[in-house]
Amino acid sequence: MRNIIRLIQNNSNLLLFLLIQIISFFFIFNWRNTLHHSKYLSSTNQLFGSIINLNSSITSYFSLAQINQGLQKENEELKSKLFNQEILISNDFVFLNDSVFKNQYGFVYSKVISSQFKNRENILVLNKGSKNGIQNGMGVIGDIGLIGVVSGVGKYYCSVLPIINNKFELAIRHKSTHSFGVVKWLADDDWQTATVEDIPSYMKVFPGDLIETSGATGIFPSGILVGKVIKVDEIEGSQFLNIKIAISENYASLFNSYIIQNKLRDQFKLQKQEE
Amino acid sequence: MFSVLLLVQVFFIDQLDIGRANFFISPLVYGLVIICLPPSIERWLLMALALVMGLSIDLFRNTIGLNMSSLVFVAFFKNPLLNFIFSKDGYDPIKELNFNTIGWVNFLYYSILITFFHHFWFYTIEEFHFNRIHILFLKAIANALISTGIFFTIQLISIKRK
Repeated sequence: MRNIIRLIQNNSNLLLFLLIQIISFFFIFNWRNTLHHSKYLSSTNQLFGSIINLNSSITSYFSLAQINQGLQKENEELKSKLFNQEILISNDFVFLNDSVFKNQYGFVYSKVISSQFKNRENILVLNKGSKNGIQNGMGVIGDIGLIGVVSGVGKYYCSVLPIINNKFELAIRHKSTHSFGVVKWLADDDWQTATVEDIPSYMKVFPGDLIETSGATGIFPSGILVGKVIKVDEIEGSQFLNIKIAISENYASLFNSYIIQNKLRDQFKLQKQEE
Repeated sequence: MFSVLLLVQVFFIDQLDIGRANFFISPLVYGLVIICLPPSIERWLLMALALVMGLSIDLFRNTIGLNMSSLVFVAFFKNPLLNFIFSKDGYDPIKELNFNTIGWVNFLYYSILITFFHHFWFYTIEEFHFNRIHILFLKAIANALISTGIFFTIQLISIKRK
């Protein structure tokens, strides 16, 4: 017995080291294996969220011009869409006034207060939380295209799983051929590219083509830009193409984002279960 | 020192946008909090400090355990490494470790080695497989050199003020 106590006394530092390592590995496996982050031990909690928010409120002044330009551009596009629609209606087209279709998606504006792009497990933080009705699994888009999916919600802040995260997976489609695929972020991708899989090899995909969301998961409406094809590889013996895309959003400078709420999501889930 | 390094790491180093190299270069400078402490400090105290520092970085980065594990690793192997590099009387155990007290060349040597271990441990756990070990190795070396450069600048500033 005395020997055991002496052994512990002599090696107390080593034991402490091993204990801390075991604890931290426990934490690592914990967040690695679940999609959603814990509510308290992450940057969505109030203290850390407010520190990050303070930082972003200081630094955002330096990029006001850039933010304004982005908003102007978006306004332009929206206006052009609006006026084009009016012309269509006035030309005596049959216009189905489907209220369900009109109300399907709700948008909440939010600011990106922290963004990571250097790690393998990148996470963004937005300044909207459960008080604003944000829930896990909602989609997030930016001025240009898709940003990610909400993965953790605090009271005032939420964290977002961007495309540039190991765990990200989303159903997409090739714009001109409408063939479906899956976008992933693999080990050989850097922070500006992603990989598209499951598009059949007989489809004609060329560099420069656009990739957009398919709407198959019920998270995003269909037709939101994801990226541009930069390289198409045919794998011998495989029926599918391996496509590298350049992500349209620049994760190093994100300001505006819109969280999408699909009001028919519950129905959509039921439909999926019946299948 | 503690909170300044924390803020520098989270809001400055992590937000730097350097084009295509972004993915390759992400130095971890918060390790300086452990690296420059005098060797006479008790080991368990050093590890406790490393735990707190690593955990607070993790909370900002949303990676609980990752930075914690790598910084405690550094704290544990700091004194053996010092004894391995220098002979027992090669340094003064009460003074802080910087380029004034142990010399330019010695500090360079010590700092590059210890930051290399820090980065290598970090990237290995982050990636969690050895398929791309050569890239991890290169990444660790490059980032160790860069963070040593940053340590020198930080120490130049902080020492002249005294």
